[in-house]
Amino acid sequence: MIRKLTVILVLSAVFGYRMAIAAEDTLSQRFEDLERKVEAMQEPFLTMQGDVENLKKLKLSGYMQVRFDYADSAKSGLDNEAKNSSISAFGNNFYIRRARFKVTYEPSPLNSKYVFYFNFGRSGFPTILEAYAQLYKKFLPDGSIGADLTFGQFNVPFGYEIEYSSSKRDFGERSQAENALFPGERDRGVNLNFGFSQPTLPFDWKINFALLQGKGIGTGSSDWQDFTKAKDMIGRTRFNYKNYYLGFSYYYGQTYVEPVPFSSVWTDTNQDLVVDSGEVTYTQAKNSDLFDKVRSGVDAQLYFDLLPFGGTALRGEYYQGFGVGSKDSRFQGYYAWFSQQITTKFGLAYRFDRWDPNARENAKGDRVDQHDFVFHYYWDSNTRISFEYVMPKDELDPALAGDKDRKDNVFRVQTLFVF
Amino acid sequence: MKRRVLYTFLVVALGLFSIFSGAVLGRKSVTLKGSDTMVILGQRWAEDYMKAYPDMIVQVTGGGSGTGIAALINGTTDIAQASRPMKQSEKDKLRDRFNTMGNEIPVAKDGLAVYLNEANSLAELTLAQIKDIYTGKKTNWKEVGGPDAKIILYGRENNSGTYVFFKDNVLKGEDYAPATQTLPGTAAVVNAVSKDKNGIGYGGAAYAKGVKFAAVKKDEKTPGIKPNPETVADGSYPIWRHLNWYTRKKPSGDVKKFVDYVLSKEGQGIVTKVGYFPVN
Repeated sequence: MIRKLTVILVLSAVFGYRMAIAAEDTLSQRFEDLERKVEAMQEPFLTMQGDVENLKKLKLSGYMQVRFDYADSAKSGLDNEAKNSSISAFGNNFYIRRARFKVTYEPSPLNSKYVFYFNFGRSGFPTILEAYAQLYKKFLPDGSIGADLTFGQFNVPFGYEIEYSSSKRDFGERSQAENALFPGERDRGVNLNFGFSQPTLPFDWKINFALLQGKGIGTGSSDWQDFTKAKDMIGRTRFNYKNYYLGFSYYYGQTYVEPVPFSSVWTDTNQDLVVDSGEVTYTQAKNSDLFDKVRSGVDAQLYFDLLPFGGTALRGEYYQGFGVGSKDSRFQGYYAWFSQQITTKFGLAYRFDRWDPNARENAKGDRVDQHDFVFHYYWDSNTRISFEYVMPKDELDPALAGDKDRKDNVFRVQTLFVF
Repeated sequence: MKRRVLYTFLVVALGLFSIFSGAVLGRKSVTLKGSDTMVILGQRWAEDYMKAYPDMIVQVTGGGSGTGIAALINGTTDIAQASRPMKQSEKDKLRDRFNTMGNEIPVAKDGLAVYLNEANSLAELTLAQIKDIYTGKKTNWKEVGGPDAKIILYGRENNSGTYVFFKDNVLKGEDYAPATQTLPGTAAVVNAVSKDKNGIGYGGAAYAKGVKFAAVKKDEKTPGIKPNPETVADGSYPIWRHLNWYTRKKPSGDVKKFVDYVLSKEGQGIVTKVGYFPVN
């Protein structure tokens, strides 16, 4: 009996041991299988991670400004057409002022950038606003001193307003001077920018030098052609210390005026097919002309906190020069801009903007002083709703009897979507 | 006529209410977003502060320093926690949106530790060796005095302040080696190095469980130093940084009260408990 029991116990132990080894083998095998499966999963994961990294090099951004303008001029007819080209003079309109879409490709490591920037504006037709390649060079490994070189069509590096995007600006339009001097705010050429910026220091400094065609964009089908031999030049420097910014800009270029050939036009007024006296108008030939185009400007910005409301900004810019439109013109323009943030939800701003295209003492009646008031409500981090009142005041010419300020004020409601 | 006046009044009152409800009533909560390195610290401060002020709600979320600063620029957080300084481009965005230059408040100090697996026989690394390892110039432990084995690199994602700080200050602006495996948080880096005997990682000293710190040498001649309260406070440990808070403007109201608490003796006491180093 004892022998039988011993045999059963030994057999059970051997069987149990074999079973335990088998179970351990199975467990070990399953663990290895699992490990192989996880390793196999890593491969597509790494591929996917690589794809995502590539996609991150491509950035899409843009904004849209949808407006309703209620214009005084609409009540008064076209005789009261606004002097200021940025004011809607032709009625009360719903329209899309700007609908912009930017595609930026930034390879890694970050030593260049490629930009295509499209606009779908009032006409509805897409136009290329910007298309450029930008090459970066760090002179110190931390990038505190560096340079970039831009080729293509880009923002003209003159003054403060141009580089400040319309998607951020308080007012619907830039100042009158900027609109008159830099149509489209862009030009074609090359721009070299040096910069010093170190996060641990309270100041930074930038200096630009650009060579441009000089005709801007959107000024006609031949705006890409420049008949002057030399290219227009711009120099700009901007210094920032803490919350103070100061910039100086200088532009030198030339304006080419095409020659006018001698011509005569016959109008057969009495339809007798004979050239009678007084039926021919003669236009004398004029030689081509080339005259200097000089612009200089200074801009300053100051930012401070007005507690408990929020940030306050004071901005100002002054332009002067000659050679816009004609050889003898001497222009002058400036603006002062106050902007107040009220919590994260609201904002207020006011701008006084003067533009005098002919600032000579004896020229009267062409200066416009514009007051601009705006109130913002930030719906969310992407959407801003603005209520703006634009009030241009015309300089009166004492030599003209009955000269009076034109009815060209505009009340504007605008929704801005940014992504 | 009276009804019209009443309606006008109601509309004006509603408008004013909506204005001031955002400015006054809505300020009973404070939100913190950003650095994963600082998320535990932020949570501990929040818990302690809410015990003292039960009417306050302090919400803390991570996501990385870049994410926190982006939220500050978008207006969706009151305070961004960041383990790196704000970039110039970020300051510009904040200025353009809110007319403000941002406000930096150092709230703690952190020694950035270099993690090694506990089985790794190597104990010391110079700053130059760490740079060479992470830029891919040295790929085997024996090149820096360790065992003959391939070095496995673990690091953070590029929205992390730790990633940026390490790149700027240790790699001197050079890019990480492509072989670096990016992980979504310091805890994940520590976990990966603790399981990989050939692994190396970097991150806050407060997270070091199951790994050992490499003693870091400024150069070949100087002794290796490990991060601890004394070596970080006196600057002898070479890889240290401020952990910062960023607000849009100078703090006021409830945000200021919370900032004052964090910089107080109690708040700085929590810094030490969590494993970082006080600013004072």
